[in-house]
Amino acid sequence: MTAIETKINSFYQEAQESVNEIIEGSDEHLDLILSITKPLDNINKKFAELNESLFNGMNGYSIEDFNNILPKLKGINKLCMTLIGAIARSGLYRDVRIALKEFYKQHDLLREIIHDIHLILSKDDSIDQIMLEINEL
Amino acid sequence: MSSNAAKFYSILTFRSSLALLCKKDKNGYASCPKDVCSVFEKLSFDDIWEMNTRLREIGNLRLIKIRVQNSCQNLSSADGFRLIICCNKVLRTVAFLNIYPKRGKYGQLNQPKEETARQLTTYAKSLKDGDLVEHNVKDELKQIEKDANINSSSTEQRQPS
Repeated sequence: MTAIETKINSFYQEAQESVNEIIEGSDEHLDLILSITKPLDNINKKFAELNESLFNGMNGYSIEDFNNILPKLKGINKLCMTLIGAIARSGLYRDVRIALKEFYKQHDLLREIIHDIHLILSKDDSIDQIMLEINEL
Repeated sequence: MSSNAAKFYSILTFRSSLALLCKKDKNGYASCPKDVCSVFEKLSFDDIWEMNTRLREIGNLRLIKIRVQNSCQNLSSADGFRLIICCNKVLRTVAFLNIYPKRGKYGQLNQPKEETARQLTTYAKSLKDGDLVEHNVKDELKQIEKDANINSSSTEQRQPS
């Protein structure tokens, strides 16, 4: 397992724990804003580190690396959706909006990286064909 | 200019996007030309060739997506603009294909693959038609007149791919 895969797995586990904490906390409402903000801040910090590592490593990954990484990143994306849903259901959106805004930002960056990996792995040859034509000009 | 310096060209799509972003100061994108220049002005072609994120590589060409800060809104490169370029390692040219912001009025998450393909098609056509525009990355992306490029020799210069 590569270093980035270990990092992705570690982040997934920690994020899963934080999501559970948020879901349980938000059932009880409101001394509970903190019970959402704190784990969310924790996720945000590690999410930013993960996104940074992914971005910095993009040019160095092999196709095999991308194939291994992609399903894990999709798993994190799904977890992010779960978290967003849980916070929406808690009715505390306004109270945690600063931490949530940062979370959205990191989630966007993750989705962008997933999109880029899809493009890199894409077998659709329309782009390749045009680039071949340009090469020959 | 060192032999390792890159030359910068653009297609119409990029110039249209840039014009739209710079049209109104209040949209918060007016620093775009300056921010793009700040990425490239001190880089050699080899530095640019290695930049993140490499999307495709075919023959002498590499398609790259670059993160650019938005100093107007005080946004980091992660939140600023995305610049799509196509580099030719033999001719040492960089073609600006498109630029879009991540945030604000014209913000978008990604550029669909179909748009990237369209921009490459436009690039190919511009190369054939000779209507690429050269830019000065040390002077806010100002366009360089074609005549300024022509040597004293009378041979017609072919635009590079």
